[in-house]
Amino acid sequence: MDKTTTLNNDVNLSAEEPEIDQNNKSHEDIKYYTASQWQLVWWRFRRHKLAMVGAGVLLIMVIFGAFADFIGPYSITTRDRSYIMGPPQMPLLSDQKGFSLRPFVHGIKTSRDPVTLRKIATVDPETRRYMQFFVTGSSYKLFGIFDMETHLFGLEQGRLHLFGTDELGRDIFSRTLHATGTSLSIGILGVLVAFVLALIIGGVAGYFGGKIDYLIQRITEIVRVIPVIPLYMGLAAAFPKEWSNMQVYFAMTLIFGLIGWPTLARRTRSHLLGQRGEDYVMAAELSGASAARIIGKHLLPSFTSYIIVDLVISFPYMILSETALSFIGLGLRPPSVSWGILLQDAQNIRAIEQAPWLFLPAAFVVIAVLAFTLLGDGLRDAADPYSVSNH
Amino acid sequence: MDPNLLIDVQNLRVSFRTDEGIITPVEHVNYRIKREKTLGIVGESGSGKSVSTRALIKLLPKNAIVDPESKILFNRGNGTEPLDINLLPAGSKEIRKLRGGEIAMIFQEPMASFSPVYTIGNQIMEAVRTHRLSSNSPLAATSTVGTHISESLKAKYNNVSKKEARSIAVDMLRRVGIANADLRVDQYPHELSGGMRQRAMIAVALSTHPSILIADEPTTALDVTIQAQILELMKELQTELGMSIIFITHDMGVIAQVADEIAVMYLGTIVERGPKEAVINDPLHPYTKGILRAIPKLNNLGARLEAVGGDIPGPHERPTGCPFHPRCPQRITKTCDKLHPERIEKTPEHFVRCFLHL
Amino acid sequence: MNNVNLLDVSNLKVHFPIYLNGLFRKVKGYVKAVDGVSFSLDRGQTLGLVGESGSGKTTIGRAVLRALEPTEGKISFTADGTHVDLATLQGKALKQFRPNMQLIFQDPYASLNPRMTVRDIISEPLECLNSFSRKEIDERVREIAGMCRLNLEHLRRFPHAFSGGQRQRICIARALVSRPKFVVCDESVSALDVSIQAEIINLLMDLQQELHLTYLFIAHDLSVVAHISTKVAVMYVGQFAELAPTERLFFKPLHPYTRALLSAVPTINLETAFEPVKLEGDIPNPANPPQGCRFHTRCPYVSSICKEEIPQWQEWEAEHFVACHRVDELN
Repeated sequence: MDKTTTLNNDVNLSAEEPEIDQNNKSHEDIKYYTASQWQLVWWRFRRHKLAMVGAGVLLIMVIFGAFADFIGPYSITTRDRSYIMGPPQMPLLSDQKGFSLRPFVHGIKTSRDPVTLRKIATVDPETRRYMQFFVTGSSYKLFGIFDMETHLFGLEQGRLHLFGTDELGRDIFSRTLHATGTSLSIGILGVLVAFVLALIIGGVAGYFGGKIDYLIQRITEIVRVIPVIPLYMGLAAAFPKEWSNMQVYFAMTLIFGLIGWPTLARRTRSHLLGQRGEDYVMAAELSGASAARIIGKHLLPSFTSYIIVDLVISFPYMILSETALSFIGLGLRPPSVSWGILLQDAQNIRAIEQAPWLFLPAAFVVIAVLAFTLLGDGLRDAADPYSVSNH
Repeated sequence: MDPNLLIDVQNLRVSFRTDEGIITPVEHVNYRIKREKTLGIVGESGSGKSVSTRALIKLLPKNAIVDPESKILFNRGNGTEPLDINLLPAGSKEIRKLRGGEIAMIFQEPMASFSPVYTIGNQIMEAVRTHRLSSNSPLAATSTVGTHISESLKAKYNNVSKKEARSIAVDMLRRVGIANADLRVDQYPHELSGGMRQRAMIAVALSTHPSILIADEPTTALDVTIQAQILELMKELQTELGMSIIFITHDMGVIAQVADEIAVMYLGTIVERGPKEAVINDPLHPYTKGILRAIPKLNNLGARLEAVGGDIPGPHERPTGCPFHPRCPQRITKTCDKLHPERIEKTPEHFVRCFLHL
Repeated sequence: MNNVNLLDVSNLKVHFPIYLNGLFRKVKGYVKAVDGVSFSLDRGQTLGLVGESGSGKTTIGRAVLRALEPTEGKISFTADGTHVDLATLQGKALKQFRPNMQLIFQDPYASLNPRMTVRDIISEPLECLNSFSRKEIDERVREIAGMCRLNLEHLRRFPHAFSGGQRQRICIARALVSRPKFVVCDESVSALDVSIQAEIINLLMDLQQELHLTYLFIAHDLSVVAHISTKVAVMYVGQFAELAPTERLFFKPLHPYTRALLSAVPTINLETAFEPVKLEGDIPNPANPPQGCRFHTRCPYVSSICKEEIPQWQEWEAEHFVACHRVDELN
């Protein structure tokens, strides 16, 4: 080390000064200097208020979907014969009779319409039905494993329908939660399939270049220009009728993946091409690094953040495709629920006129798509944490 | 105002609002530009040399704040009151008239200032037709910024015809030394080589006969032989057109060859300003001395260079007191790190901001 | 140790094919980036390489390091008493030879992976060799970091914590950690500010003494090259115009291009007038270089022979090489 110190003294007469400065740097600075890429990304992302909101909303939706059985008071097929096409019930804390600490809803009286003889449910402001938490209800298997009967909330007596009921008297709130789970998971699986394909195809094109790249580019273009809706229709019509809903579900994720990869593959390829030419990659090559090391240690980490952004941004397309497909009756079929299937019920004029609450699942679709877009925006800005640090 | 002065910048201070808070890249900046002379502004990265000149034509990003106390006086001549550019609202008609009309600017990267979809000729013609009065207009002789001519009168006279503009364009290209100017005029910027493009940009800038040209690192991207051509061209055109030049660069050698007066900037302040000979042969500020010594010279080949110690601080870590004090070998403890040095006129026209010269 | 030949390059050519777009990628022509260049370099020496953009300086550096495949020519490298021809070395043998030579880049921002700590960046060349223990690697990283004025605290940080000059010191440390014998500095100080540049030049010169390094120093700034080099080669459109010991080249240049280049450098010396030799026109395109002497299109002394015949690369005086038809008349 003494070699070092003599050199230090030669190099610079006032060399000690900047060193002292370095040591005096505040704790904050040191934290910033030793922050890894992901920490920097997170710090930048945190500043994006809207993106944080988007992330929060999505988190809540994922929780809703995953714990649909627990949060939703009833199963997707439970029918409430006394409350068919009933409007949403809002838990109240007070009415004419006074104030209550426990939320409650008013009871329901059923009568027949004197003209059409249809059953009509009317609210009876005289009776109160109090809400309870962690009530025992219908049994279910959480995540298909744990046998449970407890639900997050319910009523002492009768049933609570936050979003109202459909024409069979099924609770729309519970159904929407289940649908959220299905639709989000189709999106996630679809994106994953697309992502794996994109990484392989785009990676090969970008890393090897030349003729292989040219060929892959042209194939990508061909896939990109296939009109999507007719293709979906053709493929979905090809699903055998005897397939179970589970089979249809996986077939759909596969189709979305197969159609979604070209955009992602192009992005992967261009990231790869861009990074390959960077000086630090050449420095690694000259250090004798193997191809595997260069890809694993330099190239992949350099664009994972961008790829995540691309994934997030391509989510809404998957979700909208699923919704569209199920809506026109080509995707999942009842009794399964997804956003598209729920919206199928809201297809006719009667629904709009008499039961506008059947549209509530649509709000979920809109909110989910918006949240993904906001999140994607925030991530895109945060993905390159080095763009401002180069002062 | 002294009729020999064209621009007098007093106490310029420019700040930027950023995510990390307000930074002030330019502070306590005073400089003057004399008619038909060249002021060279030399400084390293982050010294604020570009920002301090862009403030002259309000060509600053949206998050910039120019201190309202700052004065940028532009002498319109004919004994009229000087115009304070800082008082003009950004984007106003007067500013637009100044920009590209009275004050022209050229940049390091000519490709960035040309539109790729119009021919070189088109772009010169546009500048000419927006800013110049027809040579046979009775207003041509009297036109200076701020003299108010009624709009209708202007509409009647100031339109240079397309044909006239084109001949001006060809003539300008010829004057900046582009061979076959009448063919080149119809070419697109990407069809020209680097040196040619730089010449063409000068042609665009000078086509409106500005009284001052701001050249921001105009030769940095060029090779030395081409750089020499451009420097010579600028000198010729300066005498021919009688304009002033602000020449911004980081290269001391270039500044020594082109400037009449040199301003040395460090971290947003002009630490020393004076006639070229005085600054180069008899520098006052330790920073100026330091960089002059740090330049490798041919008369001491192989010897150790005298480096200026330390690093240039980033925009968020400006030192208090004299900005150079952490790197200064002659700093006075408890003075240089606390107080900002005032400007001292050591010899006539030779200013320095340093406590060593009190 | 004196005058031990380290590198001997003869008739080096690097041609890049220009492809037509399309599946079959027909070759349309070649950019002759380096077209027949010869030089030799002793241990501990520095060869400065100057020339304007597109003259092929960078390509020479990369070809010698075998970051590029040379089209033709020999690059014989003597290390520890054994000769290798770098131009033909392939695969594993090349990989094993890599620690002997390194590159320091121009841009200290692009050449450091922002996602790795300084320690990981500096240690990479050793990690790739698979022949050191963690402890040995740590020791060597600390040693070289100390020589490059980086302290232990710096090693934990990421590149975004550093300024340009500090980053360049990290680059130097990375290049030297595998104890190379030969280092190519490709415009390594050009992107730095003057006040920082001098320090890095000093550091490079100190390290050269201490570690007995041989440099190929590529730069467009002539005064920097003059300062650090033992000898200097002037390149013009893929070929050498002149090659001579530094003092000779700067004070007694033979080639008209060298003279023009030298005269065009603006200096802070106000006593001697700045009168650059006027060169007409632009630098020719290396895909389509002029016939005969490549400089004839801009040369003030052009004669008919220059337009037809390629000038010989001749040793005009001892150690002073030049390629010019009219060198005898002009000097």
